[in-house]
Amino acid sequence: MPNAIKKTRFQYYDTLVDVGFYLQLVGTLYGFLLRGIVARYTALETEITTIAVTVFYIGWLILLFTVAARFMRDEYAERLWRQTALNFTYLMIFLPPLLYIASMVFHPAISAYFAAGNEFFRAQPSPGQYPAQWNMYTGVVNVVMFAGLYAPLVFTTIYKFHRWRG
Amino acid sequence: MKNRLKVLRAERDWSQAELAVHLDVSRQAVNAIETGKHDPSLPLAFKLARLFDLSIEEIFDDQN
Repeated sequence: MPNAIKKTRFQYYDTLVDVGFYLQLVGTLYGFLLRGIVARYTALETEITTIAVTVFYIGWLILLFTVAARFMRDEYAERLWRQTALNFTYLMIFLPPLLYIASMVFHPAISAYFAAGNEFFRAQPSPGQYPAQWNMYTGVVNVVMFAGLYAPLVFTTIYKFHRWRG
Repeated sequence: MKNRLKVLRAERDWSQAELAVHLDVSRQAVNAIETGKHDPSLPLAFKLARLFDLSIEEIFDDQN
C-alpha cells in the first residue's frame, strides 16, 4: 500500500465514523420526530422523506464499513472498538428483557404511538416487500430488520462515547 | 502510564499530527499516549524508542 495512503487511513477513520454517524442520525431523527411535522405543514413530504431515507441508508452503509474496517484502525482505535464491542454485547443481552418490562409499564403510551402509524414500525409488510413465505414470521422479520438498521448506529454511539471519554 | 512524550515531541518542535505520521498511528492515539489514557503496544513502544533514540524506560515510567 502506498505510504501516503498507509499514513492517512488512520486519520480518516474517525472522520468516516463521524460522517456515517451524523448521516444516519439525521435520517433517524427525521423519521421519528420531523416527518409528521413536515407532512402537516408542507407539501414536500415525499421529496424530503426520500432525501432523508437516502441519507439514512448512506450513513448506515458507511457505519457498516467502519465497523468492519479493521485496516483503518490503529491500536488505540482498535482498543476503543473492542471496548465498544464488549459494551454492545452486554446491551444486546440485557436490552430485550428491559424493553419487555418497559413495554408492560408504558403499554398505553406505546399503543397510542403505534396507532398513529410509523413507517419504521409497520406491523405488516407491503405487498411484495418480503417473500410470501415470510408472512408468518412478520414480527421476527421486522425485529431483525429494525435491529440490522440501527445496530451500527448504536455501536457507533458507544464508540464515540469511549472516544470522547478518552 | 507516565511518559515524556510531550517533552520529547516539543524538543523537536513536532505537532501531535506530525508525530502520528512518524509512528503510523492517528493523532488521537498520540494524544491518548501523552495523556496516559493509553499504553502503547510493545511494537509501538519500540518504534517510539527508535524514533527518539532512547530506551523505552527513558520514555515511559511505570512507577505509580
